[in-house]
Amino acid sequence: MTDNDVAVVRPKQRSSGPPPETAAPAPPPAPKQGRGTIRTRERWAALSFMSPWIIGLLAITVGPMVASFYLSFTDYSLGYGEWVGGENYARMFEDPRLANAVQVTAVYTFVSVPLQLAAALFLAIVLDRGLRGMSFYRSVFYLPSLLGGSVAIAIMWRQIFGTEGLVNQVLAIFGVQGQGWVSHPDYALGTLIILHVWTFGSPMIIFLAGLRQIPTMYYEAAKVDGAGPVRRFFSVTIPLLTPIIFFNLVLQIINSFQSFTQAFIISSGKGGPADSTMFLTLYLYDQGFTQFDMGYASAIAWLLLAIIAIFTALNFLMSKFWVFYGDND
Amino acid sequence: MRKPNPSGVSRRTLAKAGIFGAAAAPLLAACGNDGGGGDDGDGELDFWWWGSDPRHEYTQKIIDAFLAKNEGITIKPSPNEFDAYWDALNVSVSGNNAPDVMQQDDRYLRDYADKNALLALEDLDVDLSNIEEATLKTGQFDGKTYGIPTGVNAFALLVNPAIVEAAGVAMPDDTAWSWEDFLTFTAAVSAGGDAIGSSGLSLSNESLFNVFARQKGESLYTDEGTLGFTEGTMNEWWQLVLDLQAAGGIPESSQIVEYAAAGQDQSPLATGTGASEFYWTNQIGAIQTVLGSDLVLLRPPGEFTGSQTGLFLKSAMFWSAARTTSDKAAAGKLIDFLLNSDESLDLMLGDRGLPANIAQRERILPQLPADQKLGADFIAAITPDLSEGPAVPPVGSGAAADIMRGVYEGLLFGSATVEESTALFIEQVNTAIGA
Amino acid sequence: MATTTETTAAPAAPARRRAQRGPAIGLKRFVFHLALTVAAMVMIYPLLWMLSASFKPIDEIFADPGLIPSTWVWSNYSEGWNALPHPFEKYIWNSMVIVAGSIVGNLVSCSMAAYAFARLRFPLRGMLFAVMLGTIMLPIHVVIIPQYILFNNLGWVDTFWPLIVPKLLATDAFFVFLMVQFIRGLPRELDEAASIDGCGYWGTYLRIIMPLCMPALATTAIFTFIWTWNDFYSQLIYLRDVDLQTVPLALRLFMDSTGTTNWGALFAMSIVALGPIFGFFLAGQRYLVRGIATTGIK
Repeated sequence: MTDNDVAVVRPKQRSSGPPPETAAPAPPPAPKQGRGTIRTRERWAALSFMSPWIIGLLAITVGPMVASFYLSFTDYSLGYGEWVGGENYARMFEDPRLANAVQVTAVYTFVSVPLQLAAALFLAIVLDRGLRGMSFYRSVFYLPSLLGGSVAIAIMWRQIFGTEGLVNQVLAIFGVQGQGWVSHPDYALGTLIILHVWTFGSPMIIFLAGLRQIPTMYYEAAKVDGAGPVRRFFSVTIPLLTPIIFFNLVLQIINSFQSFTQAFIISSGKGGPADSTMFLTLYLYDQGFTQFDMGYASAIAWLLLAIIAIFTALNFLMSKFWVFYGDND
Repeated sequence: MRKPNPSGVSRRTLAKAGIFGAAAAPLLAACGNDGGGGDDGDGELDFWWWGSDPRHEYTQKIIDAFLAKNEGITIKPSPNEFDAYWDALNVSVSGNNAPDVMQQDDRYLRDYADKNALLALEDLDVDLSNIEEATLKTGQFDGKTYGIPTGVNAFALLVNPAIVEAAGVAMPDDTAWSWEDFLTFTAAVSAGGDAIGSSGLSLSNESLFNVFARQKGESLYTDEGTLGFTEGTMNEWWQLVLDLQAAGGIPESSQIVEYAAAGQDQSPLATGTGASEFYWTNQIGAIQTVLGSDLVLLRPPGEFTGSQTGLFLKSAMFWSAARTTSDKAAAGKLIDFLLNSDESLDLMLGDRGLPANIAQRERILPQLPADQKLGADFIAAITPDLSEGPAVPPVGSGAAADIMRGVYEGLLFGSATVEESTALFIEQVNTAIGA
Repeated sequence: MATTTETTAAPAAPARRRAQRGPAIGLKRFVFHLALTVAAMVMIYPLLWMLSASFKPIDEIFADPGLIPSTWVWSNYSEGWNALPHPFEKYIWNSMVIVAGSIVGNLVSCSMAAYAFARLRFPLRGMLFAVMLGTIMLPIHVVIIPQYILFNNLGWVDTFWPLIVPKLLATDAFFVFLMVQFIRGLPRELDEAASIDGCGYWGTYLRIIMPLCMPALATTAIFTFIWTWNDFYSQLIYLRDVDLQTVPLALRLFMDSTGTTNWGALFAMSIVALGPIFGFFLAGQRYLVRGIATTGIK
């Protein structure tokens, strides 16, 4: 790949700074250039566009969040609670099951998210064609995500990875004596990771939508410059898809840190065998709803929020180096 | 131990902390409501229960019958599935919007009573004269009645006679067999065919262990609310598990875990791949339906080889009322109707356990469907031999079921020895019950 | 990945051209479809299992792993439809009302907020964006009680409002962020051109950004439909009255983990419940594919 080819495309999608001859609505580098009223007008416009969200934030979202933060300093349980200071947070450091839950969740997230996104991206690209039958495949590949946490998926998973399941039947052909994968503490999480990768439908749909939005002019420009399909893929498709890849990465990390229903497939939500699939949210739920300790559950939730926020912030920091936006913002 | 706090002091403490403004104000409003229902109620009752569709259907009919007899009362029924029920109840109780009349379970009754969510039913006009003292006691806590048992169940070993016969094994005599005989029996059944002798699922059930401990003159909990068994007894229990597994009477570890996750209807007994398992008598019908053939009920082993019998009658579920009910009188009327009226029991039959109301129990006995008859006969057979009932479990004991399951899995996968498993169980349950 | 990208990277046109080149390509295409079909089987199996279970007698559902029922029990459907306190169409209708409100809410409110975040400059934008993402980082189980108290005080428990109003107020940060990413991927020259043509902010949003975001809007509509349709937890909490219950709540009414579960009816109604989301997905995904790749940019 020569620099020349890359240059054909990149400047285009990065060059959305205001062309000097257009009177752009207050671009960031030139605040003094326009009239002051444009700024004000833009702010008012922003406020009007944002107003539903702002009302929702103030009326619905922030209150419960603040309340749950407050509850994490109480021993709240079924309507009653008293201030206990940092006790719930101190307790976390002496809770081996919590430490285990953090570890299980982290392993699950950092193994399954990259694999799932790779599968989703790959299939989105494969299925992003005008060929006959593609819409059928798209629908079928999305099916597992449609079924959600249904009983049918749980049953099938056990039929595949159970002691007498499909995997072991195949292994038996090669003379290998398999074991119950879903129910062994060393492998149960592995089967959940496979399950997560298998339900790649949602990110796949988002990738498909992203691919559809890449303006054909970029491909045409690249073709005029003699770029082959491989080059077009790496210099047009991937760079222009980075905002969507980034979106999926951020959201999938948030989602897998909050994994909950997946564990019901293997352990009916008990986190077993031997706590090997005890996700943080599952543990939090167990504390808050089974053991009625909502104060501690809230504290765990804020620990979870802190962990997710750190990784999301890191994600945003790193995105500066690889995500390309059409707005050059 | 957490104490109920109806005083409203906590609200002031919370407010003094002053971290938050409007956001948490409603939350505090909920904390501070110590009102309870007025005597001149509004006649509107929220009525919640869990179950599956046949229960929803007949319960609606009972409600209709009740409403026909009680003008001026309206009922908003809310059926649910068991797990969902508890999620919804927890939130609505916390949100100060608890249902007036609700179904309660042994596992959570004391937690809700302890958190001051339930009404002491002595205040209501409910006729309890036909309910035995021992049965009533299971719904009492600190000397007050927070739940009235709907009916009773007992633990039984459900056996698939066809599999046992095919394996060429004789049906054991349940008035004489020991836990060793159980081991020999299950191992022989496993060896005699493709089916497994027993599925090993209920060996993690703390109630079954309670039966085992009671046979030795001990118990899971004492009347003082502490653990009531010796380490030696629990060690024996875990050793029995390992011996059963070594003898082939129960499946290998990961299969047991698989069956446990799959649930009752996919267990070996229900799918015809296992010969026996312990269940409560009200579960017989469901399992026979999925299996498609009839089962035989046996008493657990060791009933007549130990120092006393270990079986006991468990309350299947309870009727409770919310402390915050908007109409105490109406709530009392509904509970009384559910418990004592012919209309109610004619429809309910044995679905919520063999009726706690002895007079009604006698009356409906001939009407019971076959599977409920099986359970009723079993309870009738064991009743003369029962020892004194077990102590009421302490607050926090609801966690014991999950703890025991966790410890059991650790033992199965070799991450803890017999002695370590016992120590782990005792330590975790003691933490949960604050002993 | 390298070999596959060669055939897949470019959009339809080159692929079609290559297909005409000779038998080697035909074989390649055959293998391509074979691979997709095998993969599709893996994906579709749970649905087939559920479909077959919905026609099986109850003592066969778990005992026999095969897909063909020994006898076809059609009554699972008629029985399941009528076994609950209301006929099943009542639950479907209730679900539809909530879904419709949610889709409208998410499409309008999330796209508005997204446009502001992506294109307009205003104070605290970065901070508000972070707050927005932060709102989806707390698990629902710890905010549900305060939220319930809030809606209970408004008298909204046992109404559809707690399920629809939040969507009208763009509380689904997932979709706001999704649309921000899509809008930021659009060249800003478009806005500038619109501005020259005399479009204000609302004009640009309505006439330029929204049409170009059709794939993102379709994605939002599809996901909102599916997630709302399948959402069990918040519907459980807010819809207690049997008259207001929805499809996911109704499906649970067949189950009792400690007693009798009506499996045949459960699976039959699960298949019925899949109908609307699958239909909506099929209809909606056309917009994903047609998109605006060819029409949007002159």
